Amino acid sequence: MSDERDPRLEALFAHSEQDLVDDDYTDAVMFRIRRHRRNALIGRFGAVALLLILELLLSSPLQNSATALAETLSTTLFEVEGQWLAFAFAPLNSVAGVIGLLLLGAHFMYRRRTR
Amino acid sequence: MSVATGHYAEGPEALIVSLASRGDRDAFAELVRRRQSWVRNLMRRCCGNASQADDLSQQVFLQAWRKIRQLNDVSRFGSWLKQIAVNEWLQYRRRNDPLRGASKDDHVSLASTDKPNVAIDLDRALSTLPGPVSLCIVLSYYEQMTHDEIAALTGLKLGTVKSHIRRGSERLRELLAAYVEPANEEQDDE
Repeated sequence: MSDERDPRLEALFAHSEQDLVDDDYTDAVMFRIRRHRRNALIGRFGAVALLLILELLLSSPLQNSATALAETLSTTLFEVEGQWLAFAFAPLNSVAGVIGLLLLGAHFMYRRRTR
Repeated sequence: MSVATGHYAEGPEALIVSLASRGDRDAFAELVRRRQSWVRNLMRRCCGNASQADDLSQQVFLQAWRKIRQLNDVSRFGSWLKQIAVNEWLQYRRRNDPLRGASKDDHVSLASTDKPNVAIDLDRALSTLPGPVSLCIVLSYYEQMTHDEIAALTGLKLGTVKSHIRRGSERLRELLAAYVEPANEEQDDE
């Protein structure tokens, strides 16, 4: 079949075309556009406001928690005599070091059991 | 109509598209005024329901406003808008009325051959066709597009487009026989 069209149907389509120019329609489209723009702006302002509120509410407690955690993890467990010796044992001589060793031990235990 | 829109009424479309793409709402209102008849007619043929068609065509213009900054070649505004209209129609079809096309035995009753009735009866006849078939028919007969162009625009295979148009045309000839046959007789008389 070629691109040729049935001339009778073609004439019917041409005859059915109406002149649909209407200022009310244009106003309705522009109203939709303004509403969409307004809603988008409200959405952006809302998101920014929500972020600011979360920042205000949570920044201080989160910062405090992070500081407390860092202090706890870096707490030395026992006093080591000598500067160089203390420096050498520093990775193990802390809460973080102990937790690290415990996790490493748990990992080896798990590997042994599952082997 | 605002004073600014009144000024734009005289301007070439490429310039108005360019202004609209820079965010000028009066320029876009002028584009709506110029193109609304075409988009609304296209949607009415596709949709078969005037109020639904107007709603969809407004959605087409809203999408056009949102994307007009992406239009690089202002001289392609018409075909770009057509692409948006077809996409909007296809999306609407995917979201709605999956049972459309079930009433294949409907027959169009013809009261007279004045212009509004031709449009209404044609829309009713088109609404009895399955969505992709009516879309291909509308793009072929209303938009005068070739089968290749329809395939490219809709994403359908060329063979499918040809088959849709053949089947759709046969169905329309049956449904609109009362419109089509008198025209033949008139031609024969001449």
